[in-house]
Amino acid sequence: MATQTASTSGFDWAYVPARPGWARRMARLARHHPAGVFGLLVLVVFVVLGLFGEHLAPYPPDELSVGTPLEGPSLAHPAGLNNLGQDVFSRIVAGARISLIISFTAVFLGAGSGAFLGILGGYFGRWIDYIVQRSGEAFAAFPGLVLFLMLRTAFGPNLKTIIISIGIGALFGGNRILRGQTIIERNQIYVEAARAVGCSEWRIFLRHIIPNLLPLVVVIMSGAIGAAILAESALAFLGLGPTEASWGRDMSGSNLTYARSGYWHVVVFPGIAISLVVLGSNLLGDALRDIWDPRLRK
Amino acid sequence: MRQYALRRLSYVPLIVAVVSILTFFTLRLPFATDPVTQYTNQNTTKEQEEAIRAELGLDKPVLEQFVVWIGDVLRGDLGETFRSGQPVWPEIQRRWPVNLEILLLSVGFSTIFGIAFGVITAVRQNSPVDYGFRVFAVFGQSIPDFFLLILLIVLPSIWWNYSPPVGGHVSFFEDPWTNLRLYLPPTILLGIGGAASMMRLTRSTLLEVFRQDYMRTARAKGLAGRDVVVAHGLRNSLIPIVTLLGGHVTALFFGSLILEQVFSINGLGQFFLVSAATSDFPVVQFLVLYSAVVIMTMNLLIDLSYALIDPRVKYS
Amino acid sequence: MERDNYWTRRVARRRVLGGAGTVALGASAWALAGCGDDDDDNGNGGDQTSGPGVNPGTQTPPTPTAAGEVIKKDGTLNLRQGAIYASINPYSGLDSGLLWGFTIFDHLWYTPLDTGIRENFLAASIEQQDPLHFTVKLQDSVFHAKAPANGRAVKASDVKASLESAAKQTKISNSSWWTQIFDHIETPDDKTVNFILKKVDAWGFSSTNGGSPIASSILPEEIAKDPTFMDKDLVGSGRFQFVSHENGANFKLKRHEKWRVSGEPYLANQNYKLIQEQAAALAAFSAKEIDTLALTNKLEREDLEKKHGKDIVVDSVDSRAVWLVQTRGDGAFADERVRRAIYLALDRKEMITLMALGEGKMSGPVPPAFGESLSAADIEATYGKSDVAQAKQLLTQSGFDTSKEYSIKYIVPGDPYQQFAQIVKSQLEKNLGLKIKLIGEDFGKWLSQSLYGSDYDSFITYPTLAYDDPSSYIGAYGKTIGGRPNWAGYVDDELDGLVTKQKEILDDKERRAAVQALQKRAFEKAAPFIPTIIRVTNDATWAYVKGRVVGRGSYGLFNGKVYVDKG
Repeated sequence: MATQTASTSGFDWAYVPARPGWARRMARLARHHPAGVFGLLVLVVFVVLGLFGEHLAPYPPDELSVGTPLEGPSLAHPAGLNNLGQDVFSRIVAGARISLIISFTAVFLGAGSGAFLGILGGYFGRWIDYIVQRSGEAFAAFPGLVLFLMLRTAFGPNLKTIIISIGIGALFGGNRILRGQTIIERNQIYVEAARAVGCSEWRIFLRHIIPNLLPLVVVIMSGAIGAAILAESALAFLGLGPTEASWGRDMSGSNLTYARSGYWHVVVFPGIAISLVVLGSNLLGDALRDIWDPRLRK
Repeated sequence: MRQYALRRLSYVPLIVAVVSILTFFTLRLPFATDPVTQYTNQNTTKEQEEAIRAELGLDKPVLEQFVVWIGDVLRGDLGETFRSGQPVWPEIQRRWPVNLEILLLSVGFSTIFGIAFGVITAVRQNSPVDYGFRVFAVFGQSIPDFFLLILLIVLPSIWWNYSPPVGGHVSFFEDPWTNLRLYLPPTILLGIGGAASMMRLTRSTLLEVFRQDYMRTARAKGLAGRDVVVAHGLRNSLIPIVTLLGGHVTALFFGSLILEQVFSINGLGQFFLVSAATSDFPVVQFLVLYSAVVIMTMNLLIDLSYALIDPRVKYS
Repeated sequence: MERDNYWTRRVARRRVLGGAGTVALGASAWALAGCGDDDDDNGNGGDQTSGPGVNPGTQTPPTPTAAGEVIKKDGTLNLRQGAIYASINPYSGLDSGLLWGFTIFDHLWYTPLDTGIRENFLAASIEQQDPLHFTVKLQDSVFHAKAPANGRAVKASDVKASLESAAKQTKISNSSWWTQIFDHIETPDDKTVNFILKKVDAWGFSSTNGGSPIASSILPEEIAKDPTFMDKDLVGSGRFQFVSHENGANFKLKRHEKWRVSGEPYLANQNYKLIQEQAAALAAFSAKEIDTLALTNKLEREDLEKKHGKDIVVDSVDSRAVWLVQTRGDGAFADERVRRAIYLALDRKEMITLMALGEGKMSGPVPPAFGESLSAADIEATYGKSDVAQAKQLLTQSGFDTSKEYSIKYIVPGDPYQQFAQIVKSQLEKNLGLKIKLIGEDFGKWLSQSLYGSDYDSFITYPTLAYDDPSSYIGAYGKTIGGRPNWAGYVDDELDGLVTKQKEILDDKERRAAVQALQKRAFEKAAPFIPTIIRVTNDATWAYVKGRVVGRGSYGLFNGKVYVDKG
């Protein structure tokens, strides 16, 4: 909606007060949605850690014997040490990188293209829609884990595999919702009006449909980040993930065995890290949904 | 409606065929892991290697292997595992009850908790109870399943020096107490985790329903609050709930694997993982097929159930 | 999960009975289940020729019990089984093959690892007329009183059928001895077995080869000709008779009343309980539901010792898997100084602290469990030496390019593999200033491509198999290994010659000296296979289990004098 100021012509149709500035609107939103703000902050911290983590960590995450192995949390090592004498806190900070890469790439590539396909299919219908829908069903029959294992056999246990499989999951996940919403949108009055005025289908699609659906896409993506991190950490936990250090991986294997013997700190702190980031993503997604479309409130 | 059902059913073999072909050929890609390496060591000669390859049936051209395998499966012969040469089917039969039990218990708990909490929070909208449960729900959806299960094992041993029993499987019918002692704690925990999404969905659909005119009519008619909610509200929310339930079951294919892992239970999930890791093709091929069939059937049943639940739903 | 492939099979002799297999994928090491490498015992450190009370070539008397003790012959030994056996058929499942080999079946001879000197079991005598022939005369012995053998005498034809059948099994004839050396058997009469060999191999009697507890198990002829019988039931002539099982678990064995050593075994029964999770096994051990348990780390040992004090006996057990750092032998690493620098830059003490929580030992190419290994002093002087300053010097002298990024390839999944690779990376980066990245690969690809196919650019780290004879460890130094070119691209005629020669020395003492000389020579030449450490684990047993043979590894499992005296 365009900002309207008081009319400059002689007419005084109605007085519409000026909309408050951008900053004040943001502040008001923040006040109404504290949880969303929290979520946003968490995600921002996550991104920062993911990008610069290796430099921000107090100890090099892979360096061995920085203290007594398996020592519990202390001032020097807030999350304690694991059995190789590595600082758990530093590993958490550095582990953000992998989670960041995987989740963001998978979500933007996956959910992004899925959303686009959904919108395309929903708007133009016919064979595009048909293909996308049938593929979605076929994919649904293929348990995600199986797809992942197949890809892993083919491409090896590395980042590429996990990004592709989570991306495909995200693709079909966002697809249906967008499609449904697109169908609703295209039946709105303004679309007919635009056609009546002579706009081409493509123009309507690009100038009106997509911008109107963008908020929904963002909402889906922010929720998908959390889901991607859950998926990725679960796979890492099972030992199937990439070999780089990651939160899920730090909770499995011998760390888990030591945790069972009483060294809980080696697994609990990475678990908290995962939960926090996913929580942030969920809260942000919920808040965005509340703001942009109360109809979609869960 | 019957036509719709038949049409959907006809997709099943098609998709199952696609899935099994994809799996079969991906496993045998030239750059994929060669199962023969699992059985060789540094002293194995080329001839011994070839003998092993022939024994596993991997020396024939891939297409021929596929035809043989499909023929066997259709006849009911699921082949033998590479690892031990023992037939696959009895192994699956032995492990299958484990997953069934995990599935029933987990999905049962998540549905019961989810719907119950959803009803409570919808009826007491905006009360402290509502906020409390919603906070719980958001947390529940954020904490990874495996973390919850790990906490279940690790925390009691720290606090109370107590470990929940792990490992092994005793059939419910043989020894209900031991069986439940093993399965209840983790499935309740998994159920609570899954309840979060069910709760949110129930709550929102119920709130939608409450806003409808016919609910006001019902209340005006003098029906008591609880009756109104249950009789009218829930029934109309059933469709999304059933859909979500289907989603939970699918998710449990994966979720139970983690439970099996953390608790050392010998279920199908563990069997699948181990076989995938050791390139035990017959097992992997069959389990993929099996899960595809199960999921597709379940989705079909759910879609068909819409018509039963809501008479307005018609299928062309 | 006990990952069952050849690479790991050798793993669980005692582990099989003490039972440390776990079910979880990725939750424990692959082969080294619970980091459970094979445990063959040599708690006695330095002495390399024989432990106390060991007379090479003769049976070892069990741990002496108190004077005047009455031997109870009605006891039941409860053991733990770590994983479900896919099949009870010893020809299909190596876990079952090992377990039955030590209990249900008898063998002609057995070669304990610590002495390396063959001891006769069913064989009354073994005479070697020439390197390609030897004759075994059988003692009297009968099979279990079960169909189809029904307690009849063990004949030479049974031995012939068993061994020739085993040789044909692709999955268990795990050494090339059975296919490349062993030719066939002739049986001139019921008590004479003549072995005819194709080539000379001085290690023929070892438990990798002709003395394999799996392959050399003596079956009744009827079963040997149709091994699928063993999918359902087992009949042998060993100390114990198979009674029952539940789907590959919870085995029950009972005493073979007509065992060839009369009066033995003292135990009336053996029961195997399936307990997959280590925590549950510890609880069962404390509750005396099982009588012995293999421990996976120091914490468990300390915990049990605290709980039970003098009522339990803890034996320490040397692993036979040696953790190796393998560089290349060609290209930038062809220069001996480069490889020597790597030798000197590794800090084995830190490895022991981190990998094994302090419970480990330094090792040469042949680990301390074997009589042929180097003495502890020799290891300290050679393979165990760490001198960072000299390492750096050598590296600069050789002109090695430290600006390039090098890589370490290791196996995934499996924590110990990754941890070892991480430790090596950290040490090389810190001590030599190298830039190293870690590359994890799935086992299949790692084994066939990166290791056998020598497809790695600088480093590859792994634990060796827990072999049963020293020859397998030093085989790596030859120009070809198992018909494939040397895995490190290392070609050295002298070492290759030494490897070939020792295989043909039939005299045990001479051969031992040759193996030790080879190890020292390999060090002098800075061969690209750098052994570092072995882990030492522990077994806990209740003190009421008496008469055990300790300190001799799997040889101690052939013991009919164990009994249980609960007072």
